[in-house]
Amino acid sequence: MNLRGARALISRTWMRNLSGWGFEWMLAFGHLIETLVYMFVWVTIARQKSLPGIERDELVVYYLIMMVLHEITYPGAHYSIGAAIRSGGFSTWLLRPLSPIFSVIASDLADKAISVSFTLLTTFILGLVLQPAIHFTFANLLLFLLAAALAYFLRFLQAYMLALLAFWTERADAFLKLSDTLLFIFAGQVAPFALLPHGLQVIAAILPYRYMLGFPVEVLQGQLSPAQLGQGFLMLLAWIGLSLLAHQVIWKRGLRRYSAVGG
Amino acid sequence: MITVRHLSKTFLIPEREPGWKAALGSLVKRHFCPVHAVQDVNFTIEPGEMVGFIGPNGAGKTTTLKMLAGLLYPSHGEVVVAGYTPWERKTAFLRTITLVMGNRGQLNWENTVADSLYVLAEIYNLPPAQYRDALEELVEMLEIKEHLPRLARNLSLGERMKCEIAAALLHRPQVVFLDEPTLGLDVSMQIRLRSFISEYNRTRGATILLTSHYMADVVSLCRRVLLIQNGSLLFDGELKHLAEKMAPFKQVRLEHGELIFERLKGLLPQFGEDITILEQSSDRTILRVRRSQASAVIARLVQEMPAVDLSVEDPPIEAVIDQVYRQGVER
Repeated sequence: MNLRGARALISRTWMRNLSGWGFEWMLAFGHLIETLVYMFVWVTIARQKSLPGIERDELVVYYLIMMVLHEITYPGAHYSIGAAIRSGGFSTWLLRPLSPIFSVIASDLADKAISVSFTLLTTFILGLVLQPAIHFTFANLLLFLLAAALAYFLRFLQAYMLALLAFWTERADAFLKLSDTLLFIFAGQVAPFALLPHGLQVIAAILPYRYMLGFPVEVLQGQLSPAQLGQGFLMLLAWIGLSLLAHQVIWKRGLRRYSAVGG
Repeated sequence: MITVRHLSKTFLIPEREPGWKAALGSLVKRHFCPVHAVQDVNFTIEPGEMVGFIGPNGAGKTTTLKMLAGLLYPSHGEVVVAGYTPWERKTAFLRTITLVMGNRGQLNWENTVADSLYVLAEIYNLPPAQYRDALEELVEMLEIKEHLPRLARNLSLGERMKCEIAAALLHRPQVVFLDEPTLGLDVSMQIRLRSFISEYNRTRGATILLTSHYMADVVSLCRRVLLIQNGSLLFDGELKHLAEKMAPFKQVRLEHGELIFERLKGLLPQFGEDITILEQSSDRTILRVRRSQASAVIARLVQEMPAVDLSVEDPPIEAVIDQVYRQGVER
């Protein structure tokens, strides 16, 4: 692996994006507002009647952590891949002795370095205002970090795979949008997993979305039994494995279809 | 260095009739039309050779270059470049080649040129000393020192093209594919770029395949040319033989006086479609004569007007190319 090239690409893309911090902060604001709305909805409901197995403070902490995790894992840079494939700009990446995925990683990390700072600041201020009681154990924190890292990898990989469908279709962006919508429903954004109707819980437990967002937060809050924890991590790893396989197939076949428009 | 055998590429292009009915029908079933961009092309290029790849728009030049650079999979055929099959995209292969396309570059428009060059040096794993030497050499030869601290998007077309060339050659590739490197540049910039390409070929011994619509690029840089039309290779040989072999006509120049001029006006229409009058004045006439009829026409002209000063030559290369592009080759 060409780590030297990847490091340079990431650092210079980061440097470039520093000048666009205002744009990144506005995007981050757009991302957190959705989660924030649902947090206030559920907190209001929790004030009026008791919710099964979840307190008001737990809801606040759940959504505050989710805001940060959503921003960290949001695959924003992937939206440019389809355009690069359609316009032939992808050729530039293919000519280099460095996998094109590093160009996406570089843009993603550069964007995140700026947007996450905004989300962290906002979350910190919201935490001060709402003052929820916070209880984490060190073990849960470690497990959360592991789950969050795997969740980032899974979300990145799935989005990359979907973006590469631009080799076949002109509007692969639609797959990314669809994925965002499914994530909104099943990942625990619209409601924490425990508050979903039974039917949706069954679907959410099978699909990858819960493991990209809701599961790591549940791990941190200690809401899961050891069996649920094990099952969750297994699902995460299984979806990562499946995505890696699918990515290999899409990449190889997609390159054969690539028409390198322009020039 | 480059071997191409029976190379073909067919694209399937979606097509539909105009109107609502066809638009709705295409939702259910799309129709694809095969476009044979490259058909059974064969050639070899020796190490250190600089070859011009010419042909009209849509002839298949860029598609061929993209297959040689590993960007496209061929539909059929074999290609070996520096010992590698391009579309396998092995790291060692990608370090050996470069492809410069007029409007697709390695510079990041939002970064300074210096930062883009640094990233490329790291991607190609250049040792620091080699990077310094290569950069110094390219900066001097291309005169781009003042552009290094600027954002690529703030450079003019010519300045950016020179920086793109520097970015493409920083890792000192042994095989260079240049697709319209002088497109849109002013005459002075074209001359300087040509001189640089020639110098790079000479000093580095690099193999260069160059496409250009400016015949001046090809004439000044390449002894050998490949002529492609409708995806098929029509000519592979020395540029000086192109007109001889490809031009379907000869150019006949007659220097004469007023009297002969009047006689010519009566005689020339008798040749019918075998000749075209390119230029005519009271003291000079230039004719384009079908190659197959040239001997007969010239013999008759000499017989009818022995006092005329007559010379026969191949037409200028631009005229040959123009004729081939517009009308194909008369075989």
